[in-house]
Amino acid sequence: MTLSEQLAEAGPRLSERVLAEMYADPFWAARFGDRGRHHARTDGDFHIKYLAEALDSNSVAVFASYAHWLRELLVSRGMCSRHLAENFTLLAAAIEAEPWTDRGRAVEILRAGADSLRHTTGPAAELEALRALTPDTATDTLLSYLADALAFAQPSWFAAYTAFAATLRPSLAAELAALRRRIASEAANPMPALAVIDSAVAAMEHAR
Amino acid sequence: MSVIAIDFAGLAHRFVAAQLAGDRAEALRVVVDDGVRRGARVIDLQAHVIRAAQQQIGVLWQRNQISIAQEHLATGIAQVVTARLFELAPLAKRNGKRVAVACVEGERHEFPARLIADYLDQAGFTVRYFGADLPTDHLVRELAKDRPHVVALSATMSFHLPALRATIAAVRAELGEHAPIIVGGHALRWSPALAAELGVTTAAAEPDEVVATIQRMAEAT
Repeated sequence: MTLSEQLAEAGPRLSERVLAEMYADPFWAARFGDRGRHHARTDGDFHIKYLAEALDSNSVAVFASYAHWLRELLVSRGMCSRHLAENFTLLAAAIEAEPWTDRGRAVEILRAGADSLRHTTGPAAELEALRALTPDTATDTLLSYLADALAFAQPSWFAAYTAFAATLRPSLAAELAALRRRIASEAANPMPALAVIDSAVAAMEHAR
Repeated sequence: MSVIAIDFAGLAHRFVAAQLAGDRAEALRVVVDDGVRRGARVIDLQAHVIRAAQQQIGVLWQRNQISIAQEHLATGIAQVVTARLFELAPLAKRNGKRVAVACVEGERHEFPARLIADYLDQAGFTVRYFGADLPTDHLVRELAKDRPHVVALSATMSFHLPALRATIAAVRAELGEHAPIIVGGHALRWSPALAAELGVTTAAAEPDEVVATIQRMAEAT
């Protein structure tokens, strides 16, 4: 069997494993519920199909094109780029644990797909540079939502996430204040990001 | 009927609005009254109004600005209008060349292939259009009977490319190693090197260009 055939056969099992690992974080069930689980399963199936085609045609670009297309779909539905990259990385780890001799090719494509989701231009790219120095998941996720909001010129996406995250984390206001200070001191062009944070904070205060 | 400059982008914008409103009558008015009756070519209305509108609808769905139900409603309207436009299209004198147009097995997005079939019919080709998701062996059986001058295949999703490869191999096994095959669909855009690798021609986006390419391929056989 070729690697893409092995992947197709193991696809449902690999997707279930990734789904279980994602949903270990209570954010997913709280934010997207059963509907989210259903869509995550469908998306997992598509990841495998596009990965198989990327392997067969020996083209990372096929998978990266898919990743970019899917990113736009998901970030407009409440996720951030980091979530999709994490999903690819978990799938890569699941494939790494298989006994297939040439599994490294699939792992490489998934990692390249995850890396390709980093924004490379404008103020969003500056936030990616901060993300590279951010070990904690919560802050990195905030930065990823913020970078997406800037890259797609949709500040309301960031506000929607923070409004929801505030219901799970009482510390969110303090986290946002710390993030704001950090961006103000470390980004070369901090104003666009600060404006997005400020409007999200204002919306949260208004809702209170 | 006097020919005046037609604002296709403006018509496409109005067409999308009619699709989102679920208003078939308005969608027909846009392309028939304000398109055909003002001198626009049907082929241009198909490409630059209906297809452009469908692409816009796809982007709106991708960006979560419309639901999947609205997307289906919009596509239903595009299909009705496409059928009506075809009735109104002047058909060129038959040129004696036969073309088979099909989506590869598993491919359910038939709209791009249907438009190609319509363009070719208008240009004088004898077209056999097989629609969405035709099992490869059934396609090959039909091709064996009809022996078209050109085979046009569509694949919109990358994971249908294995089916595209299999179809091309099956067509060649039946019609010969050098059977002229043209491929189109979004999947080719994400795999731009594939057509050359498979030794097939890629369909251009512009209808006149696709028709001219298929004309050349048909004449060479």
